[in-house]
Amino acid sequence: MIYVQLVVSGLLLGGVYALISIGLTLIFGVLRVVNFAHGEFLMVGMFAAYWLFQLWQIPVYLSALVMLPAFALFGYLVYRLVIRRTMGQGDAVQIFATVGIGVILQNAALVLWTGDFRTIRSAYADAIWRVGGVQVSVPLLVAFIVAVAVTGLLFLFLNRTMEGKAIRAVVQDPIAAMAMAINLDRIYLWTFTIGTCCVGLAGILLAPNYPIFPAIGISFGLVSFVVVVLGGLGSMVGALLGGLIIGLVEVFSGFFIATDLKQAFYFLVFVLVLVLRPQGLFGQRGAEMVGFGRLV
Amino acid sequence: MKRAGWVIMTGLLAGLLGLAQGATASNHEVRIGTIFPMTGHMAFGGNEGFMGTDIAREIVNERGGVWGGKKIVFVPADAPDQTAATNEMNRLISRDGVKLVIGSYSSAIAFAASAVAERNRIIFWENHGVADPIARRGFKYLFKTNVNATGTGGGAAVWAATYLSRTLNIAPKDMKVAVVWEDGTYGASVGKAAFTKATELGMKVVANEGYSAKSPDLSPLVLKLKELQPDVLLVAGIGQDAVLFWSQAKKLDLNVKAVVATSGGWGVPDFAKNLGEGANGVFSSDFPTEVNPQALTPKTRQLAQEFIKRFKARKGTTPTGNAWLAFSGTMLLFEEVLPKAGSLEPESIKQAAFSLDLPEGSMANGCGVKFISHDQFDGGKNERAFAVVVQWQNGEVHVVGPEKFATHKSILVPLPKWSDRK
Repeated sequence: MIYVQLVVSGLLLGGVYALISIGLTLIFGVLRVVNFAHGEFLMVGMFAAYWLFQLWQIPVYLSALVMLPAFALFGYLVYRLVIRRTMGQGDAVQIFATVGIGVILQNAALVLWTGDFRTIRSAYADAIWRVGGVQVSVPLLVAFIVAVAVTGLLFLFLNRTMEGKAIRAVVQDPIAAMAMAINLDRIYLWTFTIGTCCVGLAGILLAPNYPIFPAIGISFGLVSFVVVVLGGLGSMVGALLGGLIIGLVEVFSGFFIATDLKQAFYFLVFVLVLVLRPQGLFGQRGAEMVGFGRLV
Repeated sequence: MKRAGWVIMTGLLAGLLGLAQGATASNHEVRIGTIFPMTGHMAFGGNEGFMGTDIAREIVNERGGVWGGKKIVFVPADAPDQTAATNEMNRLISRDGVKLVIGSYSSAIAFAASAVAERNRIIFWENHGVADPIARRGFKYLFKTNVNATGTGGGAAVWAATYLSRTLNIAPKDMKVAVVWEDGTYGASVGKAAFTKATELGMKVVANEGYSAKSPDLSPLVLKLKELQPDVLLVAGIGQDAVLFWSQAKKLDLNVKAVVATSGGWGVPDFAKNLGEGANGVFSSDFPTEVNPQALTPKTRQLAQEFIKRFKARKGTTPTGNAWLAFSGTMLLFEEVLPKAGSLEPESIKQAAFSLDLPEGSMANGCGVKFISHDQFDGGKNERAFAVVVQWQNGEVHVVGPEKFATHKSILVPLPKWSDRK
């Protein structure tokens, strides 16, 4: 029974990682901007859910409806005020700009809400399904299902809609896309906004599962970078499967070998994949040189 | 016109110099550096530690300050990690010219910051960091007012082998114990002390596991412990990892008969605030909080009450062991050491500190004071500092052992199963 429990726990954890990574891989894949403030965006989402629940008892899933437009606006502003001005300025400018946003957000949270850690305490947050001898956390299961659903929806969006196809065109060849009258700036704006909404949603869904504090984004942010590179830059399916692989590796190595080495093990898998398949599991070979090839 | 310009310039410069003089020097102030992790992972503890330190400053200044009316002014530094601790200490010493620094909530910060103080030959007054190696580097400018890891970690094992053994009716040699610790400077040192003591006492140690306090998930650790079915957990967590571990233990149905933590994240108000009823019954071999007033001298009894009142007014909660350490250690410095030293010169402070010989109950948290000579093992450590055992009861921490200091009786031994809790 313990094996089943380990697989369930690994998949649920992987779902969490995937959910966080989807927005990052989208922004990474299209804008080629490494958003180092990604973890802090997640933290903002978690605090948003916490305060909506704490102040007005708004259930977590309902707060997603309220907060998604707010996140869209937030993404819009961050793109317009900062990211847009760093496009084409070189890696160093983008790194410092996004790290700067992260530091500002983290410290603003600290000033506003102190360094105390908080949890959403409700019957829902503690809900458990007991299937046989296996414990399944309901909020984690929901996060997992949403991760799969968001991946599917983005897949459909990118493949079936004109806007999605335009985004893919920009990924394959920005110059040619511009020649086809695709407004690059608009595509970047759209993508950054969608990516921000994804991570905001992730923050809201994870809020009932983890202690919330200003520095929580650091740990999750690091894992999501591993997931994105492992899955292949810009690949939605890669982010999902990459997340699940990291989750399973972490739980199994932590259980069978040593808990303090679990991160070392998923980094080992990460290094192995990069050596054997530098483009990641679902990335296209040479994508890092000529563009990211495909975005599915 | 040209002349007028010069006059204005000179006047402005003189004004600026005067302002600068007022801002830095002043003969009516005693400037002391403080270093705490005010931001980052340990911010909750750092801020609480600073608050305890600052309440001591407030009380002493209200009573007239030191050395015939000089007010104490803090020059604060924020050190979220060890690199920042080193940089900020250099800043405090070279730019701000402080000659004494109080810290630091975290063993890791204490470790790094005290090394800079030592190089610059200024006193580092540590009220918190428990890791044994802090005072085992032969430093000559370090004073550590609190108990060390051997006291808290070892104390946890002793509590399990004595009180819990009796209450649960399991002989120490039959008691299955799991030792779990975060793998930073603090947890590794406390975990090692707990493991060593449990082994010495002949207990069945079924696990000795480290984990990263920054890990966003601890489910593999919880599942491993669930398989091993220990009777008692001895745990050293530093921050939110304590909440994460215990809430995942609940979700994954890890049931044990008792938990003895070693302060850190298991002893701060946020632990109970986040876990609610789930926190009740958890023991912690911890720094003394509000001890039995009978164990204090009349002077410190009044001081302890004053501290509780002011802390509640600022934070809205009763102070935990961490805040008590900060307050008690800083009051000791301001009320006993500085008046005797007469200045911030390191040699004077050393002489004053080593001259102290105060019985138990002399510090606000019930400890006594006798610093071990810098030439000896554990040099600079207060040998009369001790750990007590506290327990979470209805959202508050109460001292339950040893009997002399206890204010409350233990509850929930053995701990009910999660399925039987509300």
